[in-house]
Amino acid sequence: MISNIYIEEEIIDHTRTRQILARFKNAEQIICTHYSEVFNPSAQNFRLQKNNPSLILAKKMNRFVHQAPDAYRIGPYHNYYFSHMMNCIYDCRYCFLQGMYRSAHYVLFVNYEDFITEIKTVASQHSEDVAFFSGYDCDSLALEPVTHFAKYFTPEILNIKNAYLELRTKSTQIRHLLDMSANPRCIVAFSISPEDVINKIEHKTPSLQKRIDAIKKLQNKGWTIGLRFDPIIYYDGYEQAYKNMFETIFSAIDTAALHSVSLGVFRMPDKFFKNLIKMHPREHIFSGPMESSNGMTSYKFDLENKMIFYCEQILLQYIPAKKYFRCLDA
Amino acid sequence: MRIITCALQCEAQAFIDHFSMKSILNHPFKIHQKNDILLIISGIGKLNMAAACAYVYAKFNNPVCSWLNIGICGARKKPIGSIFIANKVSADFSMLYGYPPLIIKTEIESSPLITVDQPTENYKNNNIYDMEAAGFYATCIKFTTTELVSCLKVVSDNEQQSIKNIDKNYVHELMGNALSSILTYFDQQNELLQEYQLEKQTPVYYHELTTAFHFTKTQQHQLKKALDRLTLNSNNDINIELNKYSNAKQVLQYLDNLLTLQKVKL
Repeated sequence: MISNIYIEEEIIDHTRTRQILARFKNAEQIICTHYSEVFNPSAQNFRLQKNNPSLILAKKMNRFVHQAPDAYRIGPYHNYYFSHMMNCIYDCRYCFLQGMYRSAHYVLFVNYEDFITEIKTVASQHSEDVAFFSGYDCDSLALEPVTHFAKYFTPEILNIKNAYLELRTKSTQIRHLLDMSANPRCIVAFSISPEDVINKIEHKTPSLQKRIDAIKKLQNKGWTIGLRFDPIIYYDGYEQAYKNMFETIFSAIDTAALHSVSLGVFRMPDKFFKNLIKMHPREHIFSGPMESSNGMTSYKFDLENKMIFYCEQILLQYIPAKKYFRCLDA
Repeated sequence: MRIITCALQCEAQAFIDHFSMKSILNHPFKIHQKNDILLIISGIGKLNMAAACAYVYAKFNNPVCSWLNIGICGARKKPIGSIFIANKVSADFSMLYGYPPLIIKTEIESSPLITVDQPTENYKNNNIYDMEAAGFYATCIKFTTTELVSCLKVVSDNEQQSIKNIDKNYVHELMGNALSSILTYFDQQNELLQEYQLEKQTPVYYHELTTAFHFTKTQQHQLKKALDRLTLNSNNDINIELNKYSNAKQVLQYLDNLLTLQKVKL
């Protein structure tokens, strides 16, 4: 799966580096001074690299935790996000990462301990609860067998008395979570889409049924689950597809035990969207009725409202309003 | 266009023969061609190589090219005749030129490559040594995306086999033995190039419309975007009657109306 691994000189002897290299014995190892030498050069093509991305093992030096935009608030917390990794093994056509980064290589920061130190510092600055979101620049669980990210962070968060952790994912890599006791201050937030959206534009991701199965297993073990219907994609027949998807998922899982459910429509900074169009000139979803406003590309205002209203109506038949959040533009 | 670069005729000859290439230029650089494949012989050294790449790029004026530098190299312990792809290109005094992305899935092993100004037998670590790749890589990444720029090197000298024993016939034979593996890589590189070319395609009707009407720069972008989006859902089956419109604004308005009406497939 991963045939080339770049390693920053400084972390070549890091325990986590050694564990990962042991897992990929046949991968070529290439030493670099700083991950940016490989990841940042301008003359790179994300789309071509997606054919065979490499793994870059690096050390994050500073700015471990960032304030999350208010629009992404889920619950009455202070909100922050952090990224132990950049890029994702999945290939969702609507993903902003491909518009944002020049490279499709996966950068994994192995110094998890430094993230936790800063998370503790940030949490200590608030007397109220603080939520820390993971999964902004990557899928939180997709590479779990390699990274052991959730295995390390979930218990660490439990030790910080006012901290909550949200793991945003489409993945079914939940073995580490099932092997430990459920953490009441960790929300496993699954991104969910209709089956045909998954098949056509969420390449390499688990099917809807597999995601539902993963949710059920986690709920059975007492884990708190969030559902993220974001982005809602417009296409001919989307109404029926989303209706069917809501029916399928809410008839299968324990709805009463859900932490939160959110909806958001496709939206992206204009610059990233331009890159996406260039990269995927034949991708049908980008031919939809979109417009640019305040530097963001999204569906035309009326259509966006229509889509949200339609989905909200159905969603609120299954969940109480207090658990529902609408994701707005950042 | 697919461009192969070599320092010496004896490194190139096996490829010239294989593709039955015709000589199309002798000065300032020897260039051979067959269809969309060009082979340029630069002479020894990174400056010659950089000049040759810049020359061929400017002369043929094709912005969408793949570039492959092939030739011999030295290494400490690597077997004679083994082939390597450069995963890092640097030069004397630790000057880093970059990390060519290893996107093509290949059996060919990768290695850090150091370009030297003078032939050397001072092989260090796991590196391979040549005299051109740094000039090649630094120049070509100005013309295209790095995924389409590769250096493949065949080991000609090592701790056991001195560089002093190298002659034209020996190099020709080494490159001939490596031909099959290099050609497989060259084909795979072409697949990447095709994928890249898709991004660069001009949408249907673009040339007709920009010839028929004056579009400002902004309008040209709007036109391209609208045509791209329209053709996505119609499999290029759109019909624009040029004589119905008298200016660019009207065309753009018409396309916008079409876009609003069309159904979006997944």
